[in-house]
Amino acid sequence: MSPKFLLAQLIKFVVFTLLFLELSAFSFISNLDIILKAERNRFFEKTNYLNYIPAVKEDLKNNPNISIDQDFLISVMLRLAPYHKKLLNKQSACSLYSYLISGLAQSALGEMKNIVINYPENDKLKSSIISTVDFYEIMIKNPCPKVLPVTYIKSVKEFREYLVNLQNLVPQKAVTCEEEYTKLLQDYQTFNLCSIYDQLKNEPTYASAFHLSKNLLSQIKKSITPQDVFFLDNLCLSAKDEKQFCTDIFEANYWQRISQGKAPMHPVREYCSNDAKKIKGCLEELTSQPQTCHYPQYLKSSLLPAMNCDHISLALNHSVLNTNYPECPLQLENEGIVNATRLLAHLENKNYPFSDEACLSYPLSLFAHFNLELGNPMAWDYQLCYFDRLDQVDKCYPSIIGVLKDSDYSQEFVITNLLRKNSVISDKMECSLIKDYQFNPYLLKYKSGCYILSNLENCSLSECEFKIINNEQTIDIIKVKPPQLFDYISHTRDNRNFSQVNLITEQLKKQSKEIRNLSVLKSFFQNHPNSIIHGVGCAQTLLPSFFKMQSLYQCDPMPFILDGVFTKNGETLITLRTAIDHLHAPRLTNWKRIYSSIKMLHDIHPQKSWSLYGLY
Amino acid sequence: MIFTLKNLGVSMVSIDVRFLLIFIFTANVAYANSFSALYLSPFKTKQAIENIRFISHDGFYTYFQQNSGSLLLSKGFSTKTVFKDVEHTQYNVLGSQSKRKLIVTKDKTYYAHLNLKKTFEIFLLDYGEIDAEIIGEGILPKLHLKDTWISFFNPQTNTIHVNEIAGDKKKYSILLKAPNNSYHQPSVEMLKDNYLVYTDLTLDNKAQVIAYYPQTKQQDLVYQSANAGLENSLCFLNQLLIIGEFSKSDINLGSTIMSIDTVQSPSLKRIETLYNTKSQDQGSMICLDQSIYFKKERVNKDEDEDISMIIPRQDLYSLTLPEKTLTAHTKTKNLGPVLLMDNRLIAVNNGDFYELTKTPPPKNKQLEALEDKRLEEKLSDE
Repeated sequence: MSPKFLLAQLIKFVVFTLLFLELSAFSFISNLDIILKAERNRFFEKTNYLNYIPAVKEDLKNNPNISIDQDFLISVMLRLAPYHKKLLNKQSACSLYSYLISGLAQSALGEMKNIVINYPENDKLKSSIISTVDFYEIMIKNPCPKVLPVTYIKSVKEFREYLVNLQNLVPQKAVTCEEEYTKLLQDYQTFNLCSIYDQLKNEPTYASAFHLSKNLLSQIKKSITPQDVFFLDNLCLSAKDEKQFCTDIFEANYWQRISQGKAPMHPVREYCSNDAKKIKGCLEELTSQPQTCHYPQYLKSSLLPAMNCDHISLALNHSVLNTNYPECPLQLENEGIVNATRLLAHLENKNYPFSDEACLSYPLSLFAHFNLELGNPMAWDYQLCYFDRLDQVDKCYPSIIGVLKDSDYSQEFVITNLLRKNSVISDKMECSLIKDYQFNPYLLKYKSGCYILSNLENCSLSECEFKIINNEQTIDIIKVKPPQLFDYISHTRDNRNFSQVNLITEQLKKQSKEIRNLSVLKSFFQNHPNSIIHGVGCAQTLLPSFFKMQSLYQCDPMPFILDGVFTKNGETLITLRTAIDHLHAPRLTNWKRIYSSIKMLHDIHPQKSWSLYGLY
Repeated sequence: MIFTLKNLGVSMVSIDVRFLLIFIFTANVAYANSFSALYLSPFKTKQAIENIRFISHDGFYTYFQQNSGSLLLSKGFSTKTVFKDVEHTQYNVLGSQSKRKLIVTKDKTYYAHLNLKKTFEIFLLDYGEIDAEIIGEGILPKLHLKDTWISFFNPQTNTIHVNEIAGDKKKYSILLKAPNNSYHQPSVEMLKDNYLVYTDLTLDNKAQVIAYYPQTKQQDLVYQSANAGLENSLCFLNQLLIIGEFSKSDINLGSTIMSIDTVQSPSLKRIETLYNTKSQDQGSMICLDQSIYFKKERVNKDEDEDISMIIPRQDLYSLTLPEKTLTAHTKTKNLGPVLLMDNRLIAVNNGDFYELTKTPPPKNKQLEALEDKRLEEKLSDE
């Protein structure tokens, strides 16, 4: 046996030992340096030799027995960053391939432009070098259709879709946590996302097959929020063991979980400033000073005081409701709409970027689209009207309050259409909504064009005034038809099919189960881990410290959602989200309060309905 | 036959102990009699209770509603219509300790418009009568000064309205400062026809008790809580204005009940603390006879309940004046709302109404079976 062969065997032995036993004692490091050096020299030799005999891509295409060269693989594995180790699924070749073409993998030559492969030819095993692009075409494209090269991402939108897909995989339930966490780490998109994150952090100075264009990177950088940074830091740079992650996750303080990237970041926006530099300090404050959450600085449009940060943390740890969209319950002024949109957003997994303006228009748009597309215009009949002189009647068009891109019912869009119909503006002109205090008639840019002046931050369902200015002229041909009433739960046999609860259940093809006692509630959550329970109960018994009962059966019906149950110090607690509480400020309650609130409404209900249902 | 103490086998020492025990027993009975605990008795009515909105103490007058949208009065053997409105109109009827007038609130969109800031039509009628007079729109209506004044609150305008019922029919309103998202429910007590006190919140959510003089529109601060998250409630006991200070939500800043003698201190400056505790009492204060009834956190270390609960267990207690005796009346550990109807204390427990009575409820087999069933359900739930 030649000394070279013996050295190669020794390297293999040490590498495998290191990889599988994961030894990292200090004494090995100096030895490892020697081994790496020897391995690098050997690798150079091999690739230099192979560079002279590149394989023809076409020949390889039809060869089913191609494999990655073992020495090459060892070289790559030796350079696998410890924090990327958890992202690799050892059972899946596709996972390995996604790593190799992500731009994160390195061989002894540094960035991996080429891959060394073996293939049989005339009963002999031959080695050759192919580019990563060819490697993708030959070895990945067909067997692993979900593995894509990093440069597949061509726009900010595609990047955000990638990111949101992964963010949605953050475990929500203790029962399925380990499985979900592994799924998140080893998703085929993870390496690509981490590669882009690496490029965002260390801007590439040279062009490469793995690098996104400078222009695209700078656009992506602009779209990155502090919560994205937390998420990516924890995914790409400090992925943890599944068991550790899940033990921590449902016992740790929620605010600490966020700062460790183990929980979604969006609930924090009501409690902390959006300044990325201040978030860490704020999260520490929420942990050390629980009373901060009673009156959070940025939480204005819902019932206060909220629970303290420890109790909100407990509730958030055990809740599953989708809350990743803007909402301001107080301005919506209708608890039925609030709860209906929460059900829709959860069941349809809707997400929308946060903004103060969208907190009214987004939930209204969900509600309006659901009912109008279903042919139930009675539920949402907020309309903008003009008087048609030809037909001598008011012509009305459904609209939401405020502006929402991509919505046919956006006020901007509806007003533009109405003004075009009345020939007030040309077909090419569009009206844009601006804050009323921003409009300055003396500025040149406001001298021409169509503007809708409104102050959405102060708008509510019943009151949202706007003024239309077109080429400095006030237009007053549009009148508002305010929203009418609808049944959230049915109270007569005749209209039961049109109550929001029935429509949502049936249209979204969900099953509904009556929840009559705590045992049923517990088993419902156990059997349907991501499902929620919704109901309507008396505010006086549900939130007794806020609402007083003055007379027999005085009961203000309030819709709510329950999305978790757990026991702490022998006390069985349920996470409660009433329609006047903020999405990010759940409360804890007990079964007696819920039962009592439902029972009282049941007693006075004309059909004696029991209004607490599990949706699954 | 003469028995000596020695014959009976009783030593002098044991006589002393027995005497002492008898004394303690007698003293305890006397104590319990003077501040006896009330009993939670099922609230039984001849007709379905869920239709009843008000029933007089003697059961002679019953105001009840029907699904058709009507409110009716059953008086002796006759039934008369008070209101007939749209289907499923929801009514509430409440009175005062004076029993001269009744207030009716009417909600025509009970199931179709769910909004806790919604206002209701408020009507006034003579006690036991059917002719109603509209007063205004709002919530939390209340009768004052032997039913000669009425106050109510409009949550949309954040305004308390005060109307004189007879005489000059004077009206005035008070704009509150309480932030919109506090869902503040003000408590109002009229001391004289030109003088009232009400509760408000500062912009930084500190509870306040304010005296208001409508003629001059002068407002004097009577009391302000030191911290945000507390709520003040008011009630009147003889000449004492009682101020309760209780925590909201899960805030635990303790609970306090104070009094001001409105005769001795007409300027409401002399505040006396009657009760002060660190426990997280829910309050819902009601003044009746010589006692202040309120919901208090039950902490019973004998039952190993010294671990602080996230949802504190509440029961009905009373503070009787002038002795300041604290008496526990219920042992439900999670009592619901408590209200006063025609001078009767009514409480909600597990979604059912109970009356707090001086005598224990008569036991019958059906009721026992029902209680056993509830106990079983409770055990299986917990």
